[in-house]
Amino acid sequence: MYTELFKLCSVEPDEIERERPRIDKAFKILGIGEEDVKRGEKRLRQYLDVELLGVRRFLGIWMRELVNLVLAREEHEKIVYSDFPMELRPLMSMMLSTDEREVYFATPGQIINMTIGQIFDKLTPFLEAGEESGLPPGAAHCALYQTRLGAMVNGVIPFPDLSVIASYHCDQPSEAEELLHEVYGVPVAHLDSCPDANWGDWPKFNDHRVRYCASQARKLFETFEKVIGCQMTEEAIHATNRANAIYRLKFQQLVELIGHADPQPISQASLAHAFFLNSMPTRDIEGKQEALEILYEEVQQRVDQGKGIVEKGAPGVFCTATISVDPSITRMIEQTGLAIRVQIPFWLGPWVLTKHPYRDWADRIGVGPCLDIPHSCEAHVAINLENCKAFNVDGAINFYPFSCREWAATVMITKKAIEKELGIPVLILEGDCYDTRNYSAGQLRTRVETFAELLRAAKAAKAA
Amino acid sequence: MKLTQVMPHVSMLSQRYLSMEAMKVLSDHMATRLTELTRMREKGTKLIGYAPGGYMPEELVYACEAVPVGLIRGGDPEPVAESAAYVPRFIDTFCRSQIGYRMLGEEPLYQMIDLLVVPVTDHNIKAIADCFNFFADANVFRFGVPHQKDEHAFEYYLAGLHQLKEKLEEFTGNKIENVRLREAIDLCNRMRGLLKEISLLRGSERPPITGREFVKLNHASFYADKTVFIDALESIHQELREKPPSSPKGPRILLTGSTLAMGDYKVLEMAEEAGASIVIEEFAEGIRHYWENVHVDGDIMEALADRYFRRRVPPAWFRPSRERLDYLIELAKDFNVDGIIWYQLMYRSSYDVQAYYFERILKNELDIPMLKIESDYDVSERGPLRTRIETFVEIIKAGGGS
Repeated sequence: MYTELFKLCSVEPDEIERERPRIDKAFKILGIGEEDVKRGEKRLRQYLDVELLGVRRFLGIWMRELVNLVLAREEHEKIVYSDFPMELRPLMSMMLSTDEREVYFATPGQIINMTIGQIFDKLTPFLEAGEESGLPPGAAHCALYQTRLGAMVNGVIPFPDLSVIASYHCDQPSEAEELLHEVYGVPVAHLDSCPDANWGDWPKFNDHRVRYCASQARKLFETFEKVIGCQMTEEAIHATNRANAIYRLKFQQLVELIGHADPQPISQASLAHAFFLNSMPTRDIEGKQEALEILYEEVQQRVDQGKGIVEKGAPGVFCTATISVDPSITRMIEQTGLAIRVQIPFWLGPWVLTKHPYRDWADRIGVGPCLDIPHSCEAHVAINLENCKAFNVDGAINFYPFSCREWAATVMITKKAIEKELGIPVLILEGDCYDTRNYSAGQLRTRVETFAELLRAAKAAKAA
Repeated sequence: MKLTQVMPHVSMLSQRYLSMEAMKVLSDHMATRLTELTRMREKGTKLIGYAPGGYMPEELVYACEAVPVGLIRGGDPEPVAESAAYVPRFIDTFCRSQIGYRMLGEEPLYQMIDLLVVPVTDHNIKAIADCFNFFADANVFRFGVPHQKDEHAFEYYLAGLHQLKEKLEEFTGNKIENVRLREAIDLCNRMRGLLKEISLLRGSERPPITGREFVKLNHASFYADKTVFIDALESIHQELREKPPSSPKGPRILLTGSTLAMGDYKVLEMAEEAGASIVIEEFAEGIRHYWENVHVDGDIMEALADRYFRRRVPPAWFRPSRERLDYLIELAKDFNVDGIIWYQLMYRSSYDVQAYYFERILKNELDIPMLKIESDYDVSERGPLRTRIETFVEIIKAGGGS
């Protein structure tokens, strides 16, 4: 029943045959039936650029990881989980220090979102199970953590032997993992930090904060070594940094290629699959790098040929956040005739290249991200402004996720700052990156259509 | 719309609940405190506002000859509504209120502060700092509060206190000398000690002071002149020790949660009107933490960090969460409570998560009931809240619930 779906995800027929017993077992546990598979195929064709091999390759990686995740307990001795906003490098360093057959690493929330959410549109049972297990509805708990908790409680994915979580970006992952620890006895290692930079500090870095991040990273590695019984190796850290640098650089080039092209060559919804693999510790490092190289070449061809998914000369917008469980909203924005030049946090601006006493060191141990967007509201605003300027956009869509406290204070401030400094309009949209029940696609469309009309009129007036 | 001002909430103390002379003196002081602060400010004294949560040592403010003012007002629906123009709705109600009070411009104290100090405990509190900075163009100083208590976290908090000290010195133009700081510590220790002694009187079978009275007294400590306040506390303590039991015997309740703001007395009123006694409170914000004092037997700044960070009972966002929960269990035992009311504000996710597993722990360890209630400072909540609280109290009276 799923052969076509997997082919659409660039999985070769012989691999499908070889993996059939595992896929059958995983799909049975997941409750994915024929209807779901049909819906998945339809959604892939409808929302993503599946005619591009690069996009299909990425989908293949996600689908394989879904099967690996569901079967992890019977195939591995130890399981380590993490999830957004944990940065990839510490996870990958830990992962590469272990034997592939013994220890399984994953960001289960992200895998489920990119497959069960994006492809099958079947997240609700997980969300409801999470809501019934300590993260109730109506209280604005992070739906990413409701989903992963619900999947564990429902027995769809195993409980891990260790959860590695970051509290440097937001408070809720650590809160949810404390629940996992208290109720289900899962050991949890937290990477702590404080978002306490003062207004005017950006882009300076607080020495104490960097040192504190480092101390917490070391503590996290020690917990990992103690619980999982593996030593972190220098080789793994080097391999991680090398692989990460190669992937991130190519991804940056791809983001810039798409953002500066007119017409917009592929949907930003397709690009999201490549982006989120940058926070998922897959062992298929070569596979994701290859997929990215292929996608880059394919996009370059489209640019050279002048092919696009929106009309040439369409107003360009900067869009904050991306909905990882639902590609339809990104596509809807593009279908209203707006070219999404760039989304946050796809593009790394000049601040990342800024030399400061701690940058190399912080990057090396993987606490670099603690210094950027989570630096402060001021940094958030500055990074948004940089994005708008770098891609010369005509407007911005400040989409913010319901329940994200870190984002909340920046919403109105960012709008005011962009409008004041750049003189371009900003549309605020409330949605949810992880739960489609928290917004109405129809209402969002009405607002985006009006905004698109406004931008088109402004652009025409400017041209005249 | 015209909001009531901060001071009358506290000045109501003596007229309604206590008849002691000291309460009258305190009440009179509170009634004129705003005017007094205005005059002090006109003469050059700086008012240092701060976000409550128990991580801001007032001692540092006194030591540089400024006046600390805790921003602890809450319970009104209007500021919550006003805040919607500045932050989305899923920020904690109390934190949205603080933004609303400032932006509405009708609360004099919120306009009078010269500097707002925000110990950044979580993203809800951080939103206050960001909005005061950007929308109100206020002077804001942040320093961080890590979410766990290892040695690195202690060092980080201590570093934040040193930065705060430097900021206060620069802002007021007054150097914080150790002598002045020790005097300020003595003053604050005395105040906390008296609050603790008064609070402990509620451990008796028939407490001489109600929960509502004690909380209002506690709230007054955020604004009153410390010398006047300490004099009043000494007299009140003396009188309470000699006072014959007057309160009716009812179910003994521990009230805990995220924030118990000045002006947000509905839960206390409803519980006491239903015949219960709130014999002890534990909140992250809104009320002063008085159990621990500063022990100056080494580095004075480290002593402050030891009191305000290391020995402070942590809020629900701290890890491991057991420190707070074990403390609540001990508190429930010490004050011989019959039930716990868990009062959290909307969207304070850490409290919502912790309540889920605390109820199980409570059941296992003490076998007493817990009522979890939530507020968004909305007038329409009062009816359902009253029904739930009355039912809870009646169940305990009937010997059930456990």
